[in-house]
Amino acid sequence: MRFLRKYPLVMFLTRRVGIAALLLLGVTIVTFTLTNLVPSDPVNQALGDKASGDPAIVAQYRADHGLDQPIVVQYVTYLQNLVQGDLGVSLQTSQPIAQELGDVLPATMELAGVAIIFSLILGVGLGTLAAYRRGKFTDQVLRVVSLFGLSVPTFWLALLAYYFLFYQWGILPGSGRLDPTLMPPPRVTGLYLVDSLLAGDIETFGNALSHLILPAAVLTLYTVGLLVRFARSAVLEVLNQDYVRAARAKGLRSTSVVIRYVLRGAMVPIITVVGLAFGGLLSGTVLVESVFAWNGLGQYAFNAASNLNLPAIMGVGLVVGVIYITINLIVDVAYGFIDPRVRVTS
Amino acid sequence: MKRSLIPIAAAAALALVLSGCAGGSNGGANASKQLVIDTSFDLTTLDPSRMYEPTGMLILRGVYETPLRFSGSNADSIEPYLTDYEMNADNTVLTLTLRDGVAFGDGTPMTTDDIVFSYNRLIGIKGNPSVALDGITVAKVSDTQVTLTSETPKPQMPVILTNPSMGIVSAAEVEKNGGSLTPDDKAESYLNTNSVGSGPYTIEKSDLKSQVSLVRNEKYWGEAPAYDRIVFRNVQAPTQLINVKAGTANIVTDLSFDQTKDLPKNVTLTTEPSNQMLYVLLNQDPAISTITSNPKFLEAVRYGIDYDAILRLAGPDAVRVAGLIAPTIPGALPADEAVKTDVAKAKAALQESGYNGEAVKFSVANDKSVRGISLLTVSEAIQAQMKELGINFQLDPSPITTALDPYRDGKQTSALWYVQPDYPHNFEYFSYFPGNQMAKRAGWPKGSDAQLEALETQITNEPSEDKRNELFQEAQRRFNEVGPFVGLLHPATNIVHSSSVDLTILPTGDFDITALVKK
Repeated sequence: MRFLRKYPLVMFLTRRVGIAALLLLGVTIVTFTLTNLVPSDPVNQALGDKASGDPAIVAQYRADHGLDQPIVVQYVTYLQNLVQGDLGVSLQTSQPIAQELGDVLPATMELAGVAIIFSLILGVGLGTLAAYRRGKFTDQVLRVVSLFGLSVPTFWLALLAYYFLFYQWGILPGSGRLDPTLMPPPRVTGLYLVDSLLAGDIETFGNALSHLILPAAVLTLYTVGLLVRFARSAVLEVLNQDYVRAARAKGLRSTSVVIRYVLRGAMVPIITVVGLAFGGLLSGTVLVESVFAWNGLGQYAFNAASNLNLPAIMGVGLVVGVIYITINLIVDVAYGFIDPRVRVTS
Repeated sequence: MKRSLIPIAAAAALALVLSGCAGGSNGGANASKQLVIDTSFDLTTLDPSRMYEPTGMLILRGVYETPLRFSGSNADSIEPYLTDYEMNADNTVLTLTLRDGVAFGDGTPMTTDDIVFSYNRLIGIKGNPSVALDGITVAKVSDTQVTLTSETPKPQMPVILTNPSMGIVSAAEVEKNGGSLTPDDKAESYLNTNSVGSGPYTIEKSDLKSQVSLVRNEKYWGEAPAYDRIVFRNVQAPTQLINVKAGTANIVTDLSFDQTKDLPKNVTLTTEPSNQMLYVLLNQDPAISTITSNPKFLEAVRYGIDYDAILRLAGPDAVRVAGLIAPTIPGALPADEAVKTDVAKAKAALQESGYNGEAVKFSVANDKSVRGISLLTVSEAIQAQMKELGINFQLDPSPITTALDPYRDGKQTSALWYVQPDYPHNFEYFSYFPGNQMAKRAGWPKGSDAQLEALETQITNEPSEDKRNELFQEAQRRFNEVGPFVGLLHPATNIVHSSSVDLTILPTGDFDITALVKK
């Protein structure tokens, strides 16, 4: 305890990890309860028409997947396995859920990661520009662009982008993460961009990058719309602060004022929104994934829900919970680095 | 390098990389002797003895070969493939004679032990397709012959043996990788990524969720297939349409009739009526509903439906249901014997039924489309038609995950459903006879119709196929009078493909990737 008191950041992180564990336990209880409340038998979803009418096959299937046990026993068994990193077995494919999530998560991480990087650069840049040009033509245009990004349905935009940029104009490639002629790079991280670079395979890298542009751009447009609005209002709040005026009065270059004073002051609310947006991208890209045949977490979650694949639904719930908790933790720690006033002290 | 030049150089390098791959982006499907098939995956396994889904059938036809196979679109187009076959007079013993020279992908010759092992494993592991060989004993007779023996007549055995789940695996390879003849079998993981069959293709790489690629089996014992590599991608219908038009997919399988309108010249539509049937179910169990179990109410619904209007919702290539048996299967009723709309007769029956406008729950899986036809749309059309007649159908829409249980438990009052026989053979339709699986779902137990039950026994024991077909037709005429199933339509199977590919739709609704012809 003395060690923890001496290092308040470690104490803060330890406490947050403990809370995170409790939150995840809560996530498992809620997900397990909700999935079992669905008035449907998962065996009916998994077995064919005839097989579901054969008592021997049904009994074998229930026994194989532990569905013949009372609900409480099923939950306790799930927790026991979870502690050992075992998320159970898919009711559809009989493959380990951890392995399946490990296959789909990198696809979404890669897509959402690129989208959030572009969103951050564009959103903060354009939001700052809009704030500096408040009330002028540039500001009006950017506010319309922001509104467009927020209000256009993502799946519709995805279809339009796919139709024109791929089919009509042939500027960018179509479905999937790679051309069908190419094999995925040897798996290290599951991120094709990283793995192809690690393998020194420039052709695959370029192909993966070109496949990434269109879906990432569609996702970026929505997040940019969100960020422009937040960045604009955050920068506007900071612009009239005394320390910004003082920096200007000292004769600092305007770029230096923007980066070192204005953006640093405005960054706390921006980072909060970026964190939430990234979490949203990681867990909510199902429609964009569907249009671009990008088999990531969103598609996996949709299929799991459609087929009442209980272990898969639980696995997705847990992963999404971990994503949000981790992002929140990173955002909270980042606050301390950006704003000394919220830094933890002993 | 000056700092200001770094971003320019980086941008130039990126442009170079992207331009380098731009050619590849459209070259996927056009690469020499490579074929790309876009389909909406329902893939759960690549183990043939566990596989029972359309995507699995499509893929595994290239990897595992079956004793018999279809050569055309009709269910009577069965031909010997790995084996010759002979059925005994009373349809209880099917003898298979293995042809010479068949070998697995590793060059090992196929033996009758492999056939016996494959089928005993399929039965023993109790996977989805094991019901197909229910009550069948498989035995080796000699180094060239195997028998499949059933206690009851099963003339459908040859048809069953065309299904890719009946593909023959190398017993030695499966056993080496955890395979057994019991539910403890552990070979599935291995078979999801490796091929142990004799087909013209082997699995190159597989991801059950996104993509499976097959490459030519260099040691294939038969004639080389038209394509060296086939890639199956998990793509949804709207994107499939764009891909096939753009030429990045050669074949797409899930387009609705609406999506197949105005196709460009480089793309061809091949279509056949499918075995799937959309039908209205009216529960005959008075404990579930005294209204729908009233024969006169059933008659009113049967004659009150405007079948032509419903058919228009399904596009020009869908066909009316004449009897229960699909038109591609022997024993089907001729189209002109379909029930005809007769509003006056329906109204008279309704009056006779004593129905007073009470609400009747009409269930539908509102998230389900069958070959592009939305069940919800069809159910709304039926509701509107029934309203004009004076029947108050109250729609009870729910996702298929929750609609399936009450349907299979026989608890739905009335509903719109779809069904497809597991195998394209008329014996699959016994399920509709009183007391059998489908009939139970409609609250129609044994003893509900003596005439149909007598016909069921007669057909089962009838050795002559022609006579059986006649009896099936007689049964369907009876179903059209008293059965709790009101058949609406058979949707069309639409396969859209590059004009450079020629294919035949099989009676199972898919096509044989090993029989594709490159034009």
